[in-house]
Amino acid sequence: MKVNYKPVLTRFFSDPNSHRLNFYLQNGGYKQAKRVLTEMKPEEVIDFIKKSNLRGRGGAGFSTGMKWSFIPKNLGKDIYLVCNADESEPGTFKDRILIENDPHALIEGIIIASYAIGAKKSFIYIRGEFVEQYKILNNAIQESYVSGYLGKNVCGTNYSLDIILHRGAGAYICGEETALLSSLEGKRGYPRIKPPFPAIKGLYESPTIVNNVETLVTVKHIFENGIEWFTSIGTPKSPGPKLYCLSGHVKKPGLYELPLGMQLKDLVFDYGGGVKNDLRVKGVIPGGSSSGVLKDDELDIIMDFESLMAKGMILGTASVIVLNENVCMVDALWNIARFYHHESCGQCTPCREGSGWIEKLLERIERGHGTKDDLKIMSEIAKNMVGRTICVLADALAIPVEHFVKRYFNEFEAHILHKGCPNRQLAASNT
Amino acid sequence: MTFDQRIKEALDKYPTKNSALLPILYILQEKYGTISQIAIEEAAKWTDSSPAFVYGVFSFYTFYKREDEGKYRIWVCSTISCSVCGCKSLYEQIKNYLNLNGVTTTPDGLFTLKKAECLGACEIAPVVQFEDEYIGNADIETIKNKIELIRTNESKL
Ligand SMILES: Cc1cc2nc3c(=O)[nH]c(=O)nc-3n(C[C@H](O)[C@H](O)[C@H](O)COP(=O)(O)O)c2cc1C
Ligand code: FES
Repeated sequence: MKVNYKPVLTRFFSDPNSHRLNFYLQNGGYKQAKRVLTEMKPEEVIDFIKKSNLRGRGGAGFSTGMKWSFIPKNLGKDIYLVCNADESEPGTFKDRILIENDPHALIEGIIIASYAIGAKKSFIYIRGEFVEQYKILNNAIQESYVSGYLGKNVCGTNYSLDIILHRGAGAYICGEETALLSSLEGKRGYPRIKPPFPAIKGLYESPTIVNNVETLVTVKHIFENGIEWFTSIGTPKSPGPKLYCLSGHVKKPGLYELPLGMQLKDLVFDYGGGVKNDLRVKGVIPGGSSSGVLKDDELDIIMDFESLMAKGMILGTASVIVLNENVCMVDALWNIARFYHHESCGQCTPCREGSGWIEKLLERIERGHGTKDDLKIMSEIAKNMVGRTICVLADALAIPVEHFVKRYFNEFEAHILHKGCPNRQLAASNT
Repeated sequence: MTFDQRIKEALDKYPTKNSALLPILYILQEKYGTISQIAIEEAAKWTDSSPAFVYGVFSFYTFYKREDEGKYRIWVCSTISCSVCGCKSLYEQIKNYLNLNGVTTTPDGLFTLKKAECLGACEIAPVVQFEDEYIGNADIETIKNKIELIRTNESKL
């Protein structure tokens, strides 16, 4: 079933000029930043976002207002806001499309958030591969400086803010917030032990808030449309609109702005048009490759943080990847394992070694050399990776391992019994 | 602006010199084509650190061009969404077209073919990053045309 919802974040995206300052101003741009800076105290801004119950869109779903309120007061240190535009969770492309089409909404969100936490300098960390998006965003930032929305006296007020646009250079782990800060300091992208959390000790050991692109864009829209608008959408615990990414074997892949709490099957069939070539669904990955997998008879699940958690999975970035009946699930999981092994930063033994062993075991099962014990060994390795590492990249592989093996156990077993993939020609992605 | 001016500008932007290291490496890559030993030593000088430290940082990041890479990079995304949309056969087709047997760079030093991880454009899978440009719904014909265009232009240099 399609739902009755009018897009807000993406409403101008069909206009080829939506990324320009003039266009933005004609449609009420920077009015909220101006209003916030002139009429509200920073604490009031934080309270407003707390009341909206906005939850971070970068994957973990932590309350944005709550996070902002963790910044210590009167410490005498500089405070930083860092926008996470490293977008690299497989299946996810929402931040890229937001930056391409509405960079000024991001800048306005950054102004509001920076003011709320008392930051005078803010950084946008954008993944290195996004060369075109870097240019678009850089242009938008220059436009805002020239027109008085950034720099000294933002919107004619006493408040001053600089934005530094910083390019990453190819490393998935730099999307993890503490790794991102290491990278921003010009080091290898190594995650740091928490606590201390960045809000206490972040960039240059100063209080720092890291927020996702979509989170900050949503902040601007909450101020524009009000808390009532925001909380009337979605579910009570997961309110607001969400950008869902659809990819894989779906007829209409793309970005869909819809309320949080959609039924997964409606997303796949009513919006995505169902499976390409009218094949059947074998599995759907609900929230990026680290989120787990659901079988075709589980697609009535509600896409909010709680419902997926109840299944031992995560909503993650709400990036839905559809796998058709011809996909070999051993091969698919091997592909996922290869990704996390490749991207493990190597600091923690359970993650570095565990992801490598899991990749090797899956390769061996897929190639027909798997043994009876391999599935048990693999599940044990996955279990032992969780909770024993500095960051949760290890969990990001352990979750799909658990759910792929549990849901497609017969297929994994058949590979071992019949010494190879029964589906060899249909599924060949890794070799 | 000269390369030196751009580096100074980058250094001015950040609270610490070391924070400018990633941007400086990008600028030096433009200057030298790849991150060579000279580039590493130069970056170390600008940031008051050692070549060993700079090398350690550089080697963590895949997007910088290595010394053994060709002039143009062709990155075929091989992560899950692209994988189920046919990137494997596309990769093989490009590999055959470039006649790459057991190597990743063509003997004339023009092209380097590599598998990339999710490029953040899964809605247009399979995705190829050709130098800086993203090519969505990529097929061998589009890639062939690009390769030939570059070959023609390069032969005129
Ligand atoms: C391995 C790993 C990769 C991550 N990648 C990203 C990313 O690419 N973009 C992002 O916004 N958050 C990413 N995160 C989440 C961040 O650590 C952080 O929670 C988020 O940026 C906070 O923003 P939010 O509160 O607005 O969601 C990643 C986390 C982990 C563990
Ligand atoms: S999986 Fe290829 S772009 Fe995301």
